[in-house]
Amino acid sequence: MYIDPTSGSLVLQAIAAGVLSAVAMMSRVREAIKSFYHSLVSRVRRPTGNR
Amino acid sequence: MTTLYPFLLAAARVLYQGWHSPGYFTLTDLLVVLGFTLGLVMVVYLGAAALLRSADHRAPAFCAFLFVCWLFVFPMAAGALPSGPYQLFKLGLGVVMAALSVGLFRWLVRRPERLTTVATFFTLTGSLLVARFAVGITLDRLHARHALETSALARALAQPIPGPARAPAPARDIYLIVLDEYANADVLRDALGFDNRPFLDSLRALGFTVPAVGSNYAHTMLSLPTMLNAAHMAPLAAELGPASKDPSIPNALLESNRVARFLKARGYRYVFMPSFWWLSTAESRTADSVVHVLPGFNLDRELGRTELRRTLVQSSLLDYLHRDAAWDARFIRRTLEEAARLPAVREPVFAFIHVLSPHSPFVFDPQCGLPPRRSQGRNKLQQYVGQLPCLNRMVLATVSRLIRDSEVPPIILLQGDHGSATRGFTQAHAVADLTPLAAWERLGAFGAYYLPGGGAQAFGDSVTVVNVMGNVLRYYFGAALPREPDERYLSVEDAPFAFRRAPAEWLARNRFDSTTRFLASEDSARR
Repeated sequence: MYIDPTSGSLVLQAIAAGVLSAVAMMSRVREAIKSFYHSLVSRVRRPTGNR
Repeated sequence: MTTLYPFLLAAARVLYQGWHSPGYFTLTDLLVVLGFTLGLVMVVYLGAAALLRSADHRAPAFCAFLFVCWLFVFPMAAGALPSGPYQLFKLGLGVVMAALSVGLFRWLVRRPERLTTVATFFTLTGSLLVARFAVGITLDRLHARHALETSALARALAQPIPGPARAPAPARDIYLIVLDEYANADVLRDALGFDNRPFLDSLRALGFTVPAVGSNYAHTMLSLPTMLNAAHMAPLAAELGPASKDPSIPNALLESNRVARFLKARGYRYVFMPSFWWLSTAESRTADSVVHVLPGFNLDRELGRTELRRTLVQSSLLDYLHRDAAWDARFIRRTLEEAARLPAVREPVFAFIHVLSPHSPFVFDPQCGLPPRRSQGRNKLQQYVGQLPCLNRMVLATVSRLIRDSEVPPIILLQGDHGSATRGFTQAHAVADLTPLAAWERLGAFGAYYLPGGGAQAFGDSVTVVNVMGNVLRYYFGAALPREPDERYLSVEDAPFAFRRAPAEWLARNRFDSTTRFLASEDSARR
């Protein structure tokens, strides 16, 4: 057989893709925290503005 | 969107194999394998959805994900384990994976938010892998197409072989039967301890001539286009570079080979009998007839129909359910039986028949039965040699019928594309790792020729693969084709185009040397 059946480099590529995905998800989490913070701040400021 | 991840991960595994093996599969086959794999995952997904009776698609998707893990990860992990008594390590791994699967499933189903996070993570990961491998495959194919379009060797071999416009009467049928990896008698005797003289004597009794034969290349994908173009493939080293493994150019040269074109132009019918699973000889668009010896559709047979499928099946859980050996044996037997019927064709025939035997997998014992399953992979030398008595009997039956049933005595060329590999050839990662014994064994191809009308004089005492068809065209058809040098080029599977010349005299002189590495020994010979 000339096709190499070993999948060592698949494992490495899967790890790399997993790390990238985790980073992307972390930035999503960061965005979620940011938007939560902004909504919190705007909610605190809104009552003052209404006066 | 987040229910797609089991499908994406399964697709990534299939595409990886394609990306990892450029040129060793067709796009159609890749799509078929992809469709089959995704179909399996879909069945599990729908089955889980029906069983769980839940409107939420996340749980069935996780079941399908676990199936993909079992399908591809379990065999990979099991393969890395040491072999213990009664497969205890594999059994232990199975129990651990089953417990993990059940535990994870129960834990995540009760925590839908966590399940969504897992699904998002694997969807992203799977998408990245699919994109990476799909782009890699596309680039590889574009590169291969460009290499073929700009190949000087391909341009040179596209020119027809000059010669008289008509074949001399009476037109003889020409049967080229390639017996893959069949070593010559010297190699069988000195490297494998097998006496093949009874077979050679039987061939001689039928009228065959058996000169000293050698291969110019150590790989089928180079030997076959060399033989069918009567030209060396060595220039590809400069065109493709030593790091290339892509067989696209040699495969294209084999398919549009100039020997078949020469004979077709002189009224011959080009009949092609493909191998069961080897890509280079799986199909031919230039042949007038392609003989399919096992027609119709059979799912079990289709699983082993290409090297890509075999590799993926062997790397998956399907390996525990499926075996190719019976189909391989049946295909080889039927090919030789069908070849014997070719004299019934009315026109003059040029038949190219590629028989993947005695090449592995080893599917015959000396009595032509199927060797026991557990013997596969053990003692390669014994299994290789064990096939020869059976193969020899089948070949003798075929050539006897060809001679008996032909109105005009035909030309029959029995040819090994290269020698065997029981002395470490396939384990070497570079030519420098090869011993002289392994190199000599690999380049010692078998050849026996039925050459009526005095054709044996064109072959003389010795011949190499590159000149076999050239000798036939020169002697019988008056082709103006210069004889090629009988040079031998060694290369290993990891780098098939990284050639190193191996002089025949040097190989013969050092053939019992199983310890010195090739380079050291060659250098000392030069000094």
